[in-house]
Amino acid sequence: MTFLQSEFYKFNDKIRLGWKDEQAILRERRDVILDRLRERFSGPSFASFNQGSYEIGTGVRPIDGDYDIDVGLRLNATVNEWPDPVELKERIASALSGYNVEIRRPCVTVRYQRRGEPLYHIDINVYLPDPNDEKMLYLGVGKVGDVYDLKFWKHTDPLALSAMIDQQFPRADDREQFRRVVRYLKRWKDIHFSSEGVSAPTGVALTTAALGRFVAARETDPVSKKIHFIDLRALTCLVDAMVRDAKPRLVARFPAPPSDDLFARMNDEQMKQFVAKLAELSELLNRALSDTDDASTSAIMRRALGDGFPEVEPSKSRRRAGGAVVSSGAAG
Amino acid sequence: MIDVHGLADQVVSAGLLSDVLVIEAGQLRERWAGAHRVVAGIEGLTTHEGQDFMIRVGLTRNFPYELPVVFSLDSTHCGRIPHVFADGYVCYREIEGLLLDPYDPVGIIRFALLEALQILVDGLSRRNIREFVEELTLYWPGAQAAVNLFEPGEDFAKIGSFQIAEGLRGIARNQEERVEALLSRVPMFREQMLGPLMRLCAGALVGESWESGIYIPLDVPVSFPASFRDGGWTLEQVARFVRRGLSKKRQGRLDRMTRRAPQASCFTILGVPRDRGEPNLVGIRFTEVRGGHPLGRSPSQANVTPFRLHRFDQRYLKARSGARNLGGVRVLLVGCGAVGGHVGMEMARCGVGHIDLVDPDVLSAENAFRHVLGTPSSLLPMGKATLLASTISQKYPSVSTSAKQSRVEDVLAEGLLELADYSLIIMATGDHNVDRMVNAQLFSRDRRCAILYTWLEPLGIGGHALLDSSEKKPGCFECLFTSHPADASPQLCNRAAFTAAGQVFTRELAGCGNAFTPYSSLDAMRTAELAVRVAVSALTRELEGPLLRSWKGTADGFRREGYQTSERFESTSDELGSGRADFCAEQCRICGTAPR
Repeated sequence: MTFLQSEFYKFNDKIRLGWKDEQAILRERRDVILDRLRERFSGPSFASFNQGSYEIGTGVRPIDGDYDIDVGLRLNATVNEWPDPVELKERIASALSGYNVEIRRPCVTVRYQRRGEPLYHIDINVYLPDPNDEKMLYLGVGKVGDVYDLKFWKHTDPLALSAMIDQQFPRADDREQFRRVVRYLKRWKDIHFSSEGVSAPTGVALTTAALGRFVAARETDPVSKKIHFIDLRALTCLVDAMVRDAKPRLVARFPAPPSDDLFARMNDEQMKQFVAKLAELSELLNRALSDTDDASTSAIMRRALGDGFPEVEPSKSRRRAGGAVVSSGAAG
Repeated sequence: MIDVHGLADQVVSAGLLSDVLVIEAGQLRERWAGAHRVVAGIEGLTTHEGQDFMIRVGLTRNFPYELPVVFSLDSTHCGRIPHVFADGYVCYREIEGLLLDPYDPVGIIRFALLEALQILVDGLSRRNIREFVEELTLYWPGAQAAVNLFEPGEDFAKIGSFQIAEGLRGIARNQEERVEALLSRVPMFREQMLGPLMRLCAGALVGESWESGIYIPLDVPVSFPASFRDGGWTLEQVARFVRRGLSKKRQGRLDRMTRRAPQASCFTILGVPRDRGEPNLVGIRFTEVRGGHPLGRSPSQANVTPFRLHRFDQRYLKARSGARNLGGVRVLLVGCGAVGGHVGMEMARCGVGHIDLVDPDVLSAENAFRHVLGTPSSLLPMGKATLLASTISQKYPSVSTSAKQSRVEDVLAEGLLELADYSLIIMATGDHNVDRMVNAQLFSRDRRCAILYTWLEPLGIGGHALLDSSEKKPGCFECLFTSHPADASPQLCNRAAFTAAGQVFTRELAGCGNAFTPYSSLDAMRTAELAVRVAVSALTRELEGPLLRSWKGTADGFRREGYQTSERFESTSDELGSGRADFCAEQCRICGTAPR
């Protein structure tokens, strides 16, 4: 039995969006953009908030280097005053003139590039409040040129996922394991699905699918009483549950109205491929779990999660932290 | 002050006694009152199981925190009924183990009367006649005139007596046992021993004051004549009594032992079997012997004097003071320091018959205040093992000891100990390195014996005992140093520790080579107690390894010094004190079952 927990921690450190580097840059860019909007936006006043994987803390470094931050703008206006969301989104785009801005159906995206390569982007989501429910908002959906029916205000709670995670895992260290496991799953998706096209499940869909199926895997040392998390077991159980629930489609309903299935945009063929890949992952993880050798387990994990997972050299014994000679504290 | 008149009225109203008289001051100056510390009392009539009894209830100064003293005023009871003594005192119940309600003195008197009356009724109906034999030494007439040092067995034995002091003789199997006794066994008579010791040193000992005797273990239940407690027996009465207590076979044996005529005086010790427990030992001395042996077949004349014994024989003492029947058990104790010293002494007190000790160190004065031996008695450096072994043997002569002033690893490497001989090995070095090495060496052997590891932690925070099984099954000392398989940052540490890993506790008072870990004698004793309890339970098969048990102290002082406790320290004392095999680690390099 080998869990490679130390390697999982290293892998997690490698794939997570760093608070200090990438996220610091994004925060800086976000603040510049928000300042520009406060200055030039010819619409109602607004308050901003973070959302998405940045807010939930499940962000992973994308393989192609284009990472993002989601910002919500809560405009001080009503749907009656602004029946056309695209009009507001155009005003935002106009306030950001000079930037590489694209109005997309769910948001307004500001892209940053270096030498023609995408570097990162900021997604700005436009919301109007629901006067009847403080928690609920209306998300402006639609892009320029959409017919009338495709432009609407979608009733939703963008922070529902984050609140649900807090509610479901009262222990901070369990929440941390949930976030790590979601990161592993997202990295798996990035490796095994093409970044183009719509065949890959979205990060939010995977996170939501995990929310209802994740069970923290930890063991308490019966003697020392220290708690040890076992990410390999948690990830395996989660993937097994996802495969089990795919009958034939996997469903991940957003935990707030409109409670839509976040996998719905995948067609049956795409779903079939996704579930097949999940089954492959499950098989690999179970094999890793029953392996007793550190080196071969790490090789399996590298097949599953990519070369970013640390390689363990054969026959190299695990070095203990703190050195080979320590104070025993014992006497007789 | 007891209101005896008020109490008398209450006793009458409660129907306990009638025709009640309060004992007068003059009576309270009589011998019976002084002997039983009676300061007040009442007398009266009562009836029990259809019989009338005239009873006296004496109260001590401590009443109602002490049981009343009950006397039968019928002189014919005395000497005829077990538990009724010459002055009429009825020994109905020992206070030990009883809790009295001082707010219900009449209730206490009711209890005392009922118990005492039952004794009288049982005695008159001879229901409890065997009690005479059970408590023979209490009723045996004569002075307590000898100290018994020989170990009575199942068989007859030639024994002898020697003078310890005026009016006090010692009884031993032979001169050798006598010398040993004089030199070491009887510290309570130290002053009296000085004279004999000096003569011993002058080489003037041999044979002086030695009087020969016979130990006769009776094997047939005997009863005593009703008046036997009065003494004044004739030789014929004694001889008849002894022969009646012997089977035919044993009578022949007595004949053979008494063929030769004794000197002018001789004695016998009778082992009188009891229904429960060890046999009673009582003595009879024969003086002015004429003719054959007083207990032999040939005609003989002699004066007869019964006497009672102070018993120093180990079998009796062990049974009397809570020792277990572990005389046949051999234990190896490795490490005779603060914890090991207490462990050694306690193992002896628990009745372990053989203790071999191993420790390379000499007893130094530095540890005087936490070592069971205190300050070294000699200015010459002497090994801890040697000194502990001799102290154990001195205090508990039935315990055989041996000592090796060596490192256990050397002793094992040189094959100086036959480990298969031991029922239990106790590692009390407090050195985890030695413990782990021994564990690794012994686990691989085909024939294993149970091992107990014990150690403590600094500043009174706690101590531990780990019992390893004698069978080849998972669970060994190394398991404590085996990280949990999911531990992402495994450290070299003892998982049982109460101290958080990575802290240093050793201190130095006077430079290099003088490092010590701060803890007190109380911590060492408590750890030793835990270890010995586990050890004895293992030896009596009440507990089976592997198991880990710990005690924890308070962490206030520990934390005040800036140290941190481990997660394990937060466990409850109950949990820690009843731990079992959950410390076993599948990944253990020594005993683990998981592939590595």
